Amino acid sequence: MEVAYIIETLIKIVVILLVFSALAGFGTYFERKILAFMQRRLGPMHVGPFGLLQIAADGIKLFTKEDIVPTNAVGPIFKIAPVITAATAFMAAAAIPFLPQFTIFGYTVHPIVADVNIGILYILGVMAVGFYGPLLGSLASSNKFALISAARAASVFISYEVVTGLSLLAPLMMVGSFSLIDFNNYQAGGIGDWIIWSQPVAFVLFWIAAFAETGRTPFHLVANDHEIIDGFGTEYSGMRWGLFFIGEYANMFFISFVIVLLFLGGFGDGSVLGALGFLLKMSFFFFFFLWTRAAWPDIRPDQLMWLCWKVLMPLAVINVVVTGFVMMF
Amino acid sequence: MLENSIFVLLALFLLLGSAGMVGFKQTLFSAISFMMAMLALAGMFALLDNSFLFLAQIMVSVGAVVVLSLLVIVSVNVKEENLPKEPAKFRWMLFAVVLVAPLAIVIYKALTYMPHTWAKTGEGYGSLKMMGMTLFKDWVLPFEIVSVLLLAAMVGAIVIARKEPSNDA
Repeated sequence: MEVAYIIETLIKIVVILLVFSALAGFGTYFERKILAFMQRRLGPMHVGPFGLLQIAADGIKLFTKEDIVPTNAVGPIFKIAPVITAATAFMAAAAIPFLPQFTIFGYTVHPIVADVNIGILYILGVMAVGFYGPLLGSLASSNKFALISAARAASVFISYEVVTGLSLLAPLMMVGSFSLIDFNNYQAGGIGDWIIWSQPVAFVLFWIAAFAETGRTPFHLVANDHEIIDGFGTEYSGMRWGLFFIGEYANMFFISFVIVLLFLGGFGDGSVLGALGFLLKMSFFFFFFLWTRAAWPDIRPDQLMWLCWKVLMPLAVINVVVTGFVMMF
Repeated sequence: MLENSIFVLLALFLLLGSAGMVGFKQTLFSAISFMMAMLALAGMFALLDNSFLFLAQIMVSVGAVVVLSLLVIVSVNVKEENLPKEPAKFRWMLFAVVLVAPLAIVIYKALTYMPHTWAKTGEGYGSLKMMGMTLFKDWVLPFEIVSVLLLAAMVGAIVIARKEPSNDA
């Protein structure tokens, strides 16, 4: 029993690592294609059919590039920073149920690595640690642009962590559990039971904060190409830089899963249709990240702070108070 | 037995992190040592099977406190040559260690003289519900007093940081 459990967990971990590392590569391909179509271009076309092998070309490029550690950089921290981003992104996946449980060869598989009863807190905590990747990377690379990026990263992440936590408080009060599976079962009754209908404010706040947490446009200030080159990534090259990207795209996928599980019914009753719907909903949120990048400009850092502390946080607090009153009476 | 070895490992990290926080000359390394100590402390909570405190520790101390100190390091941007010269730093640290050694011995003696019966943890120990009940029912007054203290500190910080209104405005 014990050995079987360990083997099963190890297999799950390997599968998640492989699938989402590959998906991160495909994510960059989708991003280029979608951005290109929205801007009336073709995007990558030359490598392989419809440019599909572009991912392989990128991978070869990243792996064979010279790995440069600048002389003035703080070596050990500079080297470990990208690993923090990628590792924590995948650590967060441990508490996410990716599919409803299914039976294969008479063996019931739960597609979640560890169903801890504080799954949501775990994901938020691990993501909070993940912010150290960009932060330490930019602090260690002794570069002016990276330093600006570090200051922005610290302020953005601290501020939006507050919004994420507070916006989740109201749904948590309703469900009364921190487990994502409990969240899913709470909404298993069909579209009418989805938390989005009872907590629309929390949904929008969490969605906005998700953009800040993954550092995507319109909150892409940490690595804003036209102002501060590549921010924390300025001094990085080769696969170290690639690790930052794998972390970012894995985070985008995982947060899309989390949004669907929290607010949009997850995989419902666990049927095949529910599982397909789950993946479709997740893909929509991933697509929305790319859509926003094509459609919206970046906002200024001071606007970002204004939005967080003067709009989103009061709204989240009011939402918690109103939910409390409604639940009491 | 496994618990003991994990505890020893965590304690080692905690001590190393705390020592590094004081000992390193470069502020960046100090901050990271501090983070290491905080993570080790979170691990201690996990070892006590208190999952909420474990994650609260990570989210608050690692996710906010250390990030804020890093933000201060970024904005101050101290250069190596501007740091104060501390030639006798490690001698002072040794002196401090000698100074607190009697206290440590007293604590050690007190702990070893304690009876070897462990308090039984009740049903649902470490769960969110128990935490909430303890915090908001049994200890609600101290909790509220602490929040008033924090509020006062925040008001004080804002007053200090605020710009003086200029006369011609």
